[in-house]
Amino acid sequence: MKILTTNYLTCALRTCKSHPNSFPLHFRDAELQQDSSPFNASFIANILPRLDWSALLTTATELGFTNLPLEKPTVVDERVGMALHRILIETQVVEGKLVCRNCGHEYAIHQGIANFLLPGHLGISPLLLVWGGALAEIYV
Amino acid sequence: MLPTPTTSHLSFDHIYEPSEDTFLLLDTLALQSPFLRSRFPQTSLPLALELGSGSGVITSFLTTHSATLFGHTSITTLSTDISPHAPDATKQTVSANITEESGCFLGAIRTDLATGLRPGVVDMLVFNPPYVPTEVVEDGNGEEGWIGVACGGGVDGMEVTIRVLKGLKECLSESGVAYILLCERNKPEAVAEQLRNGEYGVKWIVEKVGTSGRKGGWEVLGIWRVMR
Repeated sequence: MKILTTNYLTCALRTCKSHPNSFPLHFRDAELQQDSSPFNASFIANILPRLDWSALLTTATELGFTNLPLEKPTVVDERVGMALHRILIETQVVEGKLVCRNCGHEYAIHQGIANFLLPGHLGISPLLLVWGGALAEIYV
Repeated sequence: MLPTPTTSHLSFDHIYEPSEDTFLLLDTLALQSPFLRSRFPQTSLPLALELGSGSGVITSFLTTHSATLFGHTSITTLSTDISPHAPDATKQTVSANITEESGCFLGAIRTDLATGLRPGVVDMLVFNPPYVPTEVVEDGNGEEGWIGVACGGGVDGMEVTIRVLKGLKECLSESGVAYILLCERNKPEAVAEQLRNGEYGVKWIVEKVGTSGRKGGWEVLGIWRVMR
């Protein structure tokens, strides 16, 4: 899963969706893989307006990338372009977790695939989640 | 004709094998190229999302052929599926077919439809639903396992699709467009009318942009384009 994906993801719980703390989700125990791919200057220039910069900064910092400017640049020079290319395109998250800061729910990433299924999605009635106690409430 | 992505690396014990419906979607998307080129120029950097990607042949098609379909490679693709087998299959299919001239595949996520996606980020949504009328929508534990989930759509074959249609308003960006396959038994004309008259929260512009044509049987498939 490319890091850019996290700019499009939020917590799967409906009650978290409108809460500012549910975006971005936060990486924990992330294992990264670096690929190499040709630099596409127009791709990087065009992705810029779409990016939520502060969310990207948070994500990048959590993963150890500290070379992005604090403000979204208006033009992409070579240095920023290469840094974005490295982070957004060439880096894959292979293992780890994405955590919602609002509810604390952890979404596992295994072999590059994030799992956003909640118990309710697999046909388990919230009523069966007796062991979940108060947790069951949120899954309704 | 754009080549269909290879899936020779997959076995189809738990994954829906690309079939007539899949190929109709691919053919229709290829014919939509002039529309896609004008709707999603390079500067818009569209995000294409496939729901229920299964083998990944459609996501792979969009990624690999982005230069032909969109006129540029500044597109991102993402896929979701509820099955434990599909995201990995999709990943493999994209990898097997990707070239240096492809769009950017972000990843395959295991989730229920578009759950977990931020509202309003999807520019192009593609869905080949479980559209066969069945008594219940399966959960993977039925006799047909995850293939049953990929095929069975409950009442009128529409139970899963209705959830997608209800979520379109939230999921799609302002310029977003959805391509959804419906079969005759889904009562597509009535569904299109409901979409047009605002029953799904927006007075959607709906057009049938692809069809498998009339055949002896009743299983006629159509691709419906939905946008604001």
